[in-house]
Amino acid sequence: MAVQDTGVGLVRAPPAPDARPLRSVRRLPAQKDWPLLAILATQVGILVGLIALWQAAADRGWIDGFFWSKPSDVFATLIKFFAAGDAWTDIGFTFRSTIFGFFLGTTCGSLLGLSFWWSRNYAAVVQPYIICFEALPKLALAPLVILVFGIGLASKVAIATALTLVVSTLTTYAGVKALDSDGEKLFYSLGASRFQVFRKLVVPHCLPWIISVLRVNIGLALTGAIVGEFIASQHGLGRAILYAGNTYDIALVWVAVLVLSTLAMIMYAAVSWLERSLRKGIRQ
Amino acid sequence: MLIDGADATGTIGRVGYMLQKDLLLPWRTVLDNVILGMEIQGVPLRKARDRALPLLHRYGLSGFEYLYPNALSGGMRQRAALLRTLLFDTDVILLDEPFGALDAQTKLQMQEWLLGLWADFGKTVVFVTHDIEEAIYLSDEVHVMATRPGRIIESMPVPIARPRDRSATLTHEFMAIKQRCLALLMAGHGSALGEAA
Repeated sequence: MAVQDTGVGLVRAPPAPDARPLRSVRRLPAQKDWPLLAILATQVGILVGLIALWQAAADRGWIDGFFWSKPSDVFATLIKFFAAGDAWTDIGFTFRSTIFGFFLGTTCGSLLGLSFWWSRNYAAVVQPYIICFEALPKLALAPLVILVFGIGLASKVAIATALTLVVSTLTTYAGVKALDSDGEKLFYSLGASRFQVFRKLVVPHCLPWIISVLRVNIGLALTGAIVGEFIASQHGLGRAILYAGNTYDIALVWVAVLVLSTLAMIMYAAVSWLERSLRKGIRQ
Repeated sequence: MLIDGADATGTIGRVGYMLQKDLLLPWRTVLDNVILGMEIQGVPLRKARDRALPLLHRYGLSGFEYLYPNALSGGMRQRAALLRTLLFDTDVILLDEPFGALDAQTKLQMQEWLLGLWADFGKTVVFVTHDIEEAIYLSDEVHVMATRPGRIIESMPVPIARPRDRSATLTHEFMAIKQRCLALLMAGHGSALGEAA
């Protein structure tokens, strides 16, 4: 048999014995993106439609206006709520408890998580306690916290801190555990002290982990503050909701929930911005 | 472990050290990665940068000084890692398979680059590799190691004159050493260890 010249070291596949029957072809699913304006218009349309439906349903008696209230009443109450002057006190109170709890919980949690790098023995001893505290439904302790810290700002901050602390600790500790031991070896081979390794390697390495929990924590801190206000408080949006519910002022419940959601969205947006600028700062 | 006859076991900061992984810190620029050793030794930042910049320019990293490591190719990253090791002023450098993760062509370029660097700095390099040709080409002395237990089973000098170029790998002397190494490795399943002093 003659050896065939196959060019540059290629071996050609033998020709197929007979052409296969054509398969039915399926097209790759393609989706055309709407322009941003169309998306926005649809979103607004759905919102307006839902509100109109709610209003109509309450007006025509399809739903009980006493329990469900209706958009026109909610709007009137909203104006009254802000005109009466209590609104800003309540908003400020809830905002302060949330922010204090958020910063306290995130800072202490991150430091605690980082501290586990210093000693594996210490980490092993402390870890079960952290897990227990994580598993514990911390909101169940809220009545106790109110007794200890009083009905003022401190108790709300304490609950918000308790909720955020554990998440930050565990996430930061995950960052510590993900540290490449060869990186540490490199630092030691350059004659670094433990503190230098901590400051120049461990902390920058864990920063993305610390930052990644910020958005989760702002939501948790708000939850903690509201629950604290539910149980005993003189101010705050949570207290406003509870008070309105107890007095069957359903329109006020909606107003407070609306204001609370707006507050939550603003804080969420602010933290997202903080997260983005921090990420840019460390160029991960 | 003896360095210049003195026991150095368990001490740190005596030997420059580099692995197959470049371990560049992703949050530092190439320049700031390279000066890490000096920074840890307490050299002021400005002075350390001034010392490192000409070296970066000289050894093929100009234009990359202020980039972050994720913008660099594997070969470039290894260069930066090796410069970091060199700038940390020790007499002995331990390179543990530094080019193991690079593709074959980049690896050849890096070997030439390392030879140039070695000629300039004149440090003792202990070079661990699984690539016999690499070991012989770069070294003054090759120690063949076997595993379980890890030990040197034979040491042989490499009498090829320096400076060397690629044609050296085709000479009779080179082939003879390579054959001897291969025979040892096939028999004992060990790995090669090069040393240039």
